[in-house]
Amino acid sequence: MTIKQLSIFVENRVGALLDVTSVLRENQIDMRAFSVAETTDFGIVRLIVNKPGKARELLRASGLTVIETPVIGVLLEDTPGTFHSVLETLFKARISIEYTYAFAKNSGSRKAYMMIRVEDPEKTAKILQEAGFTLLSPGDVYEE
Amino acid sequence: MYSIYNPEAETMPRDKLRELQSERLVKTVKHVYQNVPAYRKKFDEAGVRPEDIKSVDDLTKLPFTYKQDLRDNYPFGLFAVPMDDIVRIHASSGTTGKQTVVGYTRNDLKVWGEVMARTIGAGGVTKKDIGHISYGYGLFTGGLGGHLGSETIGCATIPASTGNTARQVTILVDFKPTFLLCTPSYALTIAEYMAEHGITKEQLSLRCGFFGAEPWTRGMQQEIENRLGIECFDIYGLSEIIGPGVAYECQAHEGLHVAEDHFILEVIDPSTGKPVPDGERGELVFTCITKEALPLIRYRTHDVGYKLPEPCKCGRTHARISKILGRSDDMLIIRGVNVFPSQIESVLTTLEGIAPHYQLLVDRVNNRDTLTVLVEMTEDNFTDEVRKIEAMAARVRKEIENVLGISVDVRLVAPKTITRFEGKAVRIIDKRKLHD
Repeated sequence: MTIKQLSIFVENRVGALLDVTSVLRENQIDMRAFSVAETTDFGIVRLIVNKPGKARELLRASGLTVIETPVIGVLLEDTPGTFHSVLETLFKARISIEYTYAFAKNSGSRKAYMMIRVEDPEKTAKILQEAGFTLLSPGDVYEE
Repeated sequence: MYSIYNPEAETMPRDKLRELQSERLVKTVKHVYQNVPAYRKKFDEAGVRPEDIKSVDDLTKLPFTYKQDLRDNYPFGLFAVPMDDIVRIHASSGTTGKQTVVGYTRNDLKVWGEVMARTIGAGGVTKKDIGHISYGYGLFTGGLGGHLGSETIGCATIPASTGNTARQVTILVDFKPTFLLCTPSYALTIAEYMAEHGITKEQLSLRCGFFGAEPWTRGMQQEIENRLGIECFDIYGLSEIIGPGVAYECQAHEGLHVAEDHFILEVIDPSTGKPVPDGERGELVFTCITKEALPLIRYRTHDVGYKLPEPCKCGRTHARISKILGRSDDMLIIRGVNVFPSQIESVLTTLEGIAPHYQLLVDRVNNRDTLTVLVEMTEDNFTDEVRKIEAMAARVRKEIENVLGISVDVRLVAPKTITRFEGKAVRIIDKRKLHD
């Protein structure tokens, strides 16, 4: 139950993000989640798109460096404390979170998913499911 | 009245000089043939025997020596004397990871002291002067060479070396040295520091300065003269020949006199190896005729310049060369240090997972040369973690700095940034204006 996230290396210069979004736009690729980790010299763009395989090829062909990273999407009901319980479960299992960001599946829905990157995604997915959490499945995201 | 340190040698009549050169060349050729297996092999392959060399006229019968020869015989394979007779070792950048190593006997150090004394003596320096030596002391020949020249004349010599500009300026103001030796860009760094701290040139006792180890324009010279209030002299040398002291400007300021009784000068067409007419540009080639430890024969410097044919108004009879106009290879000089792009390439190929796709951005910011190495971020070395990427960049930087001996910036870039052309990649983008 892991989702393919695309990680893209971007330089820290004006217009660098446009290099990414123009490829997606030209090829009608739909973005589901977007996050950027930045440092002084560069950034890593993390994308969840509906056609990860195609997007990867296209971005690569345009001269960008792209890799796929498996992440987990955990469904959060829209009530206070939901994310806290996810984190508690991971804490009890001594699982370290590398990074995390939000993902809204459908506009109008009151549900959100938190994308989480961990060292062992398969094992973590199992732990979360056993604790009763719903995970995002590839079928929910991909159209290829 | 032009200052000359050793008038007997420096104003020697041309015919006597030529006789002296021939005598010394014959001795040197015998010396290396007997004592350096690599030279014996070279001469045999070229079909030349020591007996074939009777005078300077026979010089072109001898084969050239290349930096590659020093590399192939690293570190001491070309020394013509036993190690017991070596009293000094110096080294400078090689084309890849290995340094170019040179050695000196006690007599060689005397020769070096002599030619360096001529160098600063040409600027009017006498034992009454106090010298401030701001070239690096260490394996590079700049610091200890300058030091030797200053001590040979008998000046009070301050071994300031490089770095710590604040302290250098304090010394310039307090110890009152009368002449300075450093790279032209460092002279401007000193001027900049003084300006920022309200120290005027009137507070200094400097009269003149001797600058080399990197190319510099008339504009820079003017700036140094104005800001430090000193007379500037261009000096030229390379460690393979002896270090600084191979050629030096006199007070006529029209070219640099080669110490021809120690080094025979040739200017050749780099693609054919044939001599070019006086006054025409070519690659400078030197033959050492007084050194014992490492007398190189017809050494290809890759420095481009020309010989000034007319006699100099200073009275010296030794030939002059122009300012160095460029290189006939891809070597860069960054803050006075020789850098070969192939050195960087060799570092990148040995580091795991790094593609040898790179570009060098060279610039000069606030009189300080900067070198930024752009390294391509490929899928092989891209990870999804910022930490790991930063660690990788730091590792690459450390490796490059170890090999080059100077600090550089490393920037990771997307593949598309490093422009690829058909055939040879554009490796170097040099934004500095170094030559007039």
